[in-house]
Amino acid sequence: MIIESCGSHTDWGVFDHLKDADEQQAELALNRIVRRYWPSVYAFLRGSGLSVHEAADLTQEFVCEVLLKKDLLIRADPQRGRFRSLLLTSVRNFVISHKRKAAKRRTRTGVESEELGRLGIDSQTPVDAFNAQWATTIIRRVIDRLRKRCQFDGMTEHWEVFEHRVLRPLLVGDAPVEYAILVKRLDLESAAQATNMVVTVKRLFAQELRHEIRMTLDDPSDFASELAELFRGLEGNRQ
Amino acid sequence: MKPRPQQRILEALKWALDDSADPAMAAADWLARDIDPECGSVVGLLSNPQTSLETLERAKAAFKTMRIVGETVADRKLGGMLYASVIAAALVHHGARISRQSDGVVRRALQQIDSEEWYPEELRTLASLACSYLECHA
Repeated sequence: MIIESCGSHTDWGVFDHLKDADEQQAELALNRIVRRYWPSVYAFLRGSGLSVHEAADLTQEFVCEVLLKKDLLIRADPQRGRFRSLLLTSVRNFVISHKRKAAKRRTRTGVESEELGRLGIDSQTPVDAFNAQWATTIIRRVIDRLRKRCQFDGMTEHWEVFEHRVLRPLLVGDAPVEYAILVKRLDLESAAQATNMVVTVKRLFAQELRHEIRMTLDDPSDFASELAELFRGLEGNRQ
Repeated sequence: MKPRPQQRILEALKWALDDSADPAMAAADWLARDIDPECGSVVGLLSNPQTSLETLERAKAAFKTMRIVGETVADRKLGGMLYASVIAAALVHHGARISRQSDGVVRRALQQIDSEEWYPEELRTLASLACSYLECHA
């Protein structure tokens, strides 16, 4: 019911979509899911050293090719049970294939062919960029879902307390707003009430985050390691 | 100096916390900062008369992508509006046409922007100014 109240009752597991016997439903679902993570594809391409123009063109080409030839994702690595890994491998293979074709064209015209490694596809930078944008997309969606959920459920004060005591300090480094100020601003009974509100929303945040991540996993036991990857992405490069 | 990855992520998430920003606009701001790290937001990028034509061409490519591959109809609509806003910025700030579409098509797209009250006011103003430019230079 909570998920329906946020208008996303069709957001069931990615792998359920891919395995769906109803081809039309599978196509619609794949369409939406690949489009959801296009910023990660774009970030990978930019992290590979491509210009904005090149990255924009290839992102469009990749999404269209994946949607038209949906087995691209299945072929990538059917044994790996994470959609993030499937998509990353797919875009990597797509870029390698694209560069090979471009190199062949240049060779035919007499221009020296370029090394595939020029764009740093095999370096960690584009992978980090992909994962960082993936993590950002996940967190952004969770924040949006949670905010709407709080609004729908009549918990706007809960959200405001959580935002100013937890979310902004954690994500953007703002100083936490003092409970006394929040109590006065929101006409609450006490700091204790505000504290309880934070606990409630933290629990809901965790639920939404688990839901969002689990949608991209074939095996639920991968959740812990996927969450660890998510936070590594948020922390930036590994140097 | 290029922002560290962590700083870029935090900036992207900061916009996600803004009550007035939906995820699609947050994605647009991220695209804008990828093109010009100093711009702050897509509004900052497009409303600044100092933004070069070369930068606007890059923005056009980026928002065209959003228009085509955005997840939802609303995302793709926003991409289309931002694409039109880039064209408007080139007209207003540089007197340059960076689209091969006819003035009539561009004008209709800009007039549509003007009627969308949720769209940033600075960009609606830009659209209106661009319409005036096209009328004066028809």
